[in-house]
Amino acid sequence: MEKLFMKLFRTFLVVVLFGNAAAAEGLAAPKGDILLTVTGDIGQHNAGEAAQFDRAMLMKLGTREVVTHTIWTEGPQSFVGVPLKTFAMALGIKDGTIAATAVNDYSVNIPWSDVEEDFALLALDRNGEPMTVRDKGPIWLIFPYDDDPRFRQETYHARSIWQLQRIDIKR
Amino acid sequence: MATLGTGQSAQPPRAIEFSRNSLVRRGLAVCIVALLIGVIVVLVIEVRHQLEQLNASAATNVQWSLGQAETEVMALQIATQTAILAPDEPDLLKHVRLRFDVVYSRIDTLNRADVLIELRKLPGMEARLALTQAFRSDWVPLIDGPDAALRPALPQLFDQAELVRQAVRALALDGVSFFARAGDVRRIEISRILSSIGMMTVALVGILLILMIAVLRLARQREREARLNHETRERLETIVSTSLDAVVVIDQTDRVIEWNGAAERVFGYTNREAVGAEMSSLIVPEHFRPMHRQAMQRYARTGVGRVVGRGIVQLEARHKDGSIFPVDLSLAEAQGPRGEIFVAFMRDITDRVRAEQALRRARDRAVAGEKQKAELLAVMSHEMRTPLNGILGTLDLCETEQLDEKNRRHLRIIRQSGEVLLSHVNDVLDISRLDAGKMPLRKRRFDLVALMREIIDSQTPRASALGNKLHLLPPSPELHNAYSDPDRLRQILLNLVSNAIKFTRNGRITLEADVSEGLNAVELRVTDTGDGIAAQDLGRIFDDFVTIDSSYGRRNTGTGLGLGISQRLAVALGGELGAESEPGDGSLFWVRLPMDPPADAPVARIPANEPQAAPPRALDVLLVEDNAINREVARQMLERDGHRVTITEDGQQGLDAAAVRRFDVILMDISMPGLDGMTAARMIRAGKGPNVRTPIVATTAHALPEEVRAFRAVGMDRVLTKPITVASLRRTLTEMLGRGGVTTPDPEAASGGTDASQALAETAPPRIDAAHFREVTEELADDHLRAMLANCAKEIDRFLDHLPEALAAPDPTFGSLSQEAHRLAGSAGVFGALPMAGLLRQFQTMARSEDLAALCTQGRELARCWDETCAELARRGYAEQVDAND
Repeated sequence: MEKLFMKLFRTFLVVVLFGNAAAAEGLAAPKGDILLTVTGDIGQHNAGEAAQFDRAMLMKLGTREVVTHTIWTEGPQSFVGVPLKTFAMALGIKDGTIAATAVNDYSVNIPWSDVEEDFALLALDRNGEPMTVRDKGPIWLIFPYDDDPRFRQETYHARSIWQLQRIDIKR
Repeated sequence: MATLGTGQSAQPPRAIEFSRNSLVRRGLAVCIVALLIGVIVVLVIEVRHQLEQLNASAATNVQWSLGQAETEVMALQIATQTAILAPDEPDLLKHVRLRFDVVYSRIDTLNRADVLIELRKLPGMEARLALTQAFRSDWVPLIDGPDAALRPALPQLFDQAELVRQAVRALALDGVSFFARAGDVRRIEISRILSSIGMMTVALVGILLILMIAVLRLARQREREARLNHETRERLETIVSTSLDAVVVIDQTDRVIEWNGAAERVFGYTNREAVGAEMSSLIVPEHFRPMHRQAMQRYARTGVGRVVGRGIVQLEARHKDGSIFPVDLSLAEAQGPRGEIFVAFMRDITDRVRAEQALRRARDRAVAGEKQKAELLAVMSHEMRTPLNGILGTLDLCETEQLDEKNRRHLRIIRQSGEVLLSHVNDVLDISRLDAGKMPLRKRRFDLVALMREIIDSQTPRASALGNKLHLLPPSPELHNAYSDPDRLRQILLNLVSNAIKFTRNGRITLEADVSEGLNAVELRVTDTGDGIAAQDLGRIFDDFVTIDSSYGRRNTGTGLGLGISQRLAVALGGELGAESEPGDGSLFWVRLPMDPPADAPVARIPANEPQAAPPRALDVLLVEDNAINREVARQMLERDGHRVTITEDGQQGLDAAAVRRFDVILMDISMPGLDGMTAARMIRAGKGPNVRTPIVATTAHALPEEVRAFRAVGMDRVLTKPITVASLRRTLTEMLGRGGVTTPDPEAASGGTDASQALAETAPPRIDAAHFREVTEELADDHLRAMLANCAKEIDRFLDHLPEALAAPDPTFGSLSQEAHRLAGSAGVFGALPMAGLLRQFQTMARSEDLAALCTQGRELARCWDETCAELARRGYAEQVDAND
């Protein structure tokens, strides 16, 4: 089920990236499993007032690899995913708070400054494998914890939401 | 000033001690404060670290995760229950699968998360975690399997999930207490560190308080010192402002800093005008300004000054109105706030200098008067000696052998009286020396008995003429070998005896010598039975130029000096002279003298007046004498003794004769027209003729010591003082030739002259004759000598400076150059600058012969010799005098 999910997502990401290249054409519809639904004050939509993304659409936005320890895992972990800032730009988001909600309804607000700083990563792959719900996927918002002590503080631990499902942009 | 001095001297050590203590204290305090701050910093860092740890522990998040695990399991149970209740809904199964995945993820976290390592080590945890893992692995196949297989297993899933829920809950509860405990440990640690920081801070504040108190005390002390300084300064300012002397303070750049009231009065500038101005442009006369600036620069550079700290210096200063006036300056150096300052005390000494100048002029006039007197005496002595020379010389020519005893006695009396007269002339010359304490004494062994007999003999005719009888009481044989100056003693006794004769009529005059107290206190007594002297006059008769009463004055020898000279002579000979008298009962004059010969005194010599044996062999004598009488007398004396005499009438003739053949001895008159004796002698010595080494005897009436030295300087060996007597002539010739013709100085000048002919033969004679110079320094008062020397040096400098110019003139004034050189030669000779004197005399001769080329050469020679002479004088401590005109 996850594999299918991922396949759809990947396809979707390609579309999104193309679409993004020509922003006027709008956001394409996801073809695979929907990994992320974005609502609120966004410039692009493909499902009514919302924007939905499969893995492909997300991966097409451009990825980055972050290698870091986390307190929830053993040993250094290699994460690959879409930088939150890249993602926000793709959606034409200029400002606002990001309210992120997980599969288990865990919810946290991420301030715009975290977006601006461009450290936050919407990780899709861990150690070369796409993440599933069983290992905190399909999307895990992580920070480079090893790079800066402040990321090892309670605040950033709380913002590091896993099994991310929905994002609501509030101005 | 005393209190000021004490205050100043007491202050610095205390301040130094204080500053040393405070330095130590301050250093210690700084160390402690730094240590405390360091500890606090370390602790703060520690706290920060602990707090970070507290943060990093993510306790809240972890506990949330733990608590959330139970919730997730319950969500799975609910999804399972819902799916059981609605078996036809496939979406519900899908939901169960999603919830299982979430639980799966949670179980994974519980088993793997780094943050839970410590928790997992707690007892009982392993079993719980194993349960969760078993649940997960048991159900993954069914969850991932088809709906048909999953659906019937749902109730079982629910029940097993319940077991997992309970295990997870227990785990969460243990976690809560575990993390609480861990947090407590951290918090206790933090609180311990915080209290340490607190204590440190209290200590720090304490130390700062102590420092503050110390600083306050310091400030109070400073204030006290400042007040003291202020008072001192005010006192000083009062002293400066009320000073009678001008007080001027300048800085290193010559700017006036202080200018007191006296300075305003002395220099005419007000304080407002002066302060800030350049001192040299205010009060230093224009011609001294470059020197002043150089001195300032030199002092700044080397720290050595000619005026600073050298006591009082006399300088010239300039008034605002442009007038120049003399000041006494005392300059000191001190430290000001901006480097060195100079404090000058100045006093206007115009009046004093004027008074000094007046005094100096008066003294100069007096000295000039004295000099004129001395010159007069010298001239007179010359004028008197020339006829005396004739008388005495002619007497010597009398054929005494052909006379009877009586006439011989008469002739001897005439001659002896003539000699007495000559000695009077000499005595008159000696008066000034006597007064100056420079009477030349010629102490030697002599026969006092013979001397007394001679006096009795010479005075008996005069005594008889007045009806007096002259007696000599038989003297002690000891007196045959007395030691004193017989000439002076004769003078004294003659004076006393002739006085006694004059004031006695038909009486008796006795001369006696008393040696009852030994030879070291011989008392000679002249007793008469004459008028006597009133008691009130007795003390005055020895005073100079005192005439006791008209009769005494008239009947005395006429000079009014006789007794005065006698008394002084007695004192000079180391004895005393006195008189006792009762009016109408005669007088007693006594002389008490030491006459014991010193151990090293030479054996008695034949008295000067005794006939002298002629030299053992006949000599070839060249006689140079312009005076016909003297020439004739000397010729006869020489020929009678068998010598061959060649006569010449002036210096040039003498020189010519000397060039022809060798003589055994040359008698050379000094004062001659044309070529004088000294020049002739010098030329003989300087030339290559046959008489280069022939002894030359100067014959002269000028017997002054400085002249004698000048004769020696040009190479003359001896001086024969006119009038020439057979005895003195014979003695001179005998002594000179008796030593094989080797020239030696006579005893009188044994310490004074060098052997001039030998000296001239030497390649580099000393520029100053040591013995000669010593004699001059002994004879003259030091300041007088220095003044003379400075004057002489100035004149020679001037002469040498003008010489090239004078020689380059179209018509050189050879005459005046010659005269000037002659004069300077005399001056130089006085100080023993014998080579200089010699060169000057050569110059004098050359100038007379108008030899311009030789004069130029000689001028250069003179300049070189003079430089060396000055250097020599400088070495002898007269640098100031000879450098004065440089």
